[in-house]
Amino acid sequence: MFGYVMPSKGELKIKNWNLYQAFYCGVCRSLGKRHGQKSRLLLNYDTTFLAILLSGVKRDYTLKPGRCLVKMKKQEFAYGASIDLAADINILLAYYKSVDDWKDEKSIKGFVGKSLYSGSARKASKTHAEISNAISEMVKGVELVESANSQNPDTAAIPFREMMRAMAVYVMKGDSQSALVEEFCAILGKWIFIIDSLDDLESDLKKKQYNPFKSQVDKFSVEQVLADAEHSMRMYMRDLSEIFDKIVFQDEQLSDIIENVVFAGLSEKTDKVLKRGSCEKCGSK
Amino acid sequence: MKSVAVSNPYEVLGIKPGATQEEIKKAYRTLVKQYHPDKHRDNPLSGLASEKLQEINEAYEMLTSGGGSYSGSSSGGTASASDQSSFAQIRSAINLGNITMAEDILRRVNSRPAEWYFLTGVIASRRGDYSEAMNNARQAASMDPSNPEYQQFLNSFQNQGQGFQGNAFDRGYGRGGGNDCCDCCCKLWCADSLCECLGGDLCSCC
Repeated sequence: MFGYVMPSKGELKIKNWNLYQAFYCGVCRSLGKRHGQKSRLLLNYDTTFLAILLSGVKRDYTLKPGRCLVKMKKQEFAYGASIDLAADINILLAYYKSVDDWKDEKSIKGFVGKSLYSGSARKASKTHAEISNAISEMVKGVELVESANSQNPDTAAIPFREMMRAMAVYVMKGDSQSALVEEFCAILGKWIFIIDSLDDLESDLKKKQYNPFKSQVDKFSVEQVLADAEHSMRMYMRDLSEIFDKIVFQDEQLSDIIENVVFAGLSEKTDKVLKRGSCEKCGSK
Repeated sequence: MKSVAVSNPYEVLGIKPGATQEEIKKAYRTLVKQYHPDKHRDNPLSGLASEKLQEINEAYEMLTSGGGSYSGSSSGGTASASDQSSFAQIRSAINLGNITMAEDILRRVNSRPAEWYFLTGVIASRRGDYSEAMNNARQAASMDPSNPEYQQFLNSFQNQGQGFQGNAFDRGYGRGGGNDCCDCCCKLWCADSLCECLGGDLCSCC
């Protein structure tokens, strides 16, 4: 579920790319400071986007120069309440994913993650009870969807969609634009869940694991399903872009980055997933 | 009550064909507990749970009341006259923008002809559930390939998706394939002007 929401680097102005970096590294630094150095390994692009979205609406960040010990170079770091919140959400999501991996597949990665981060997750869930409730509701929902073997991708996406909505409700509490951001997050959640299902399609079928597109593949073919998905994924993005246009951002540069994600980043990711990484022009891998 | 058109009752109950009545009952009871509406009240997935419960009830009935005489196939079928009139009602509800009403009527239709899938798809697309819409559109078009309405609905996804890309292109994103909606309109307008210069007319409206 991670790593789908990214900007299209080629379409980004250099100053905006630097700001994106400042947020990415800002979330990383916040993780390290609030949850210990080991938690920095969990950093992902999706929570960086969340930090940017929130900071764009609230403009509650500051930039300070610093030195990154991993990259060994001087750069700017973004600090702020939205960034800390995104870092906490990062910990909670990654922790629940490890628990789930361990339970479903008994994967070693899941076990290590589960044992390493239980302390940080407990701390974060105390501060943000609503978020951890939303996540456990999502886990329960996914169990129901899988046991009922729902073959409706939009129904299957409901638990994830509602979790994203609940998170937006929590982080936007008292803000006049709450409703818009909630809807934005809900559609984005649906998009993430469905693109993830499509990404895992072949491997799920091979391992005989649940996938909401299975019956459609049985009736038609994987190729047909992926070709159809190209159009439906664009429709979700269209809805998302319409809501993006309604939200008033307080920070122009962050708004540009979000626009890039909505209009170019998601499309780029969709093409990559649906065309399975093959070259668009010649069709070769 | 909605019929979910169970194709294999054994699969629904998760038992092997030829299971004893005792086994069927046991499997049925566990599943009913799992999907009972009381357990999923105030849950956005309550619809899924009740749908599943109906499927289980139907599968159970097929295996018990028929004395285990379940033979194999049953699904799809042609629409009865009453279903036909339901479809007409659904269409007018959709036209009025009353999606909840359209959904309600659709839920009461028993047969599963191509039109049922088509209408399910149209409703889903109004809700913003585009994968569901697409799957149903594909199903309808494959059941009745000669129907222009189903084909047109399927194509509308492509056009609207391209509309989004055209919008992204206008904002300066994308490598400029040139095949966007705007470009298409422009070409049409040029062609129309050229025709008019020569005394003919391509688009009668302008």
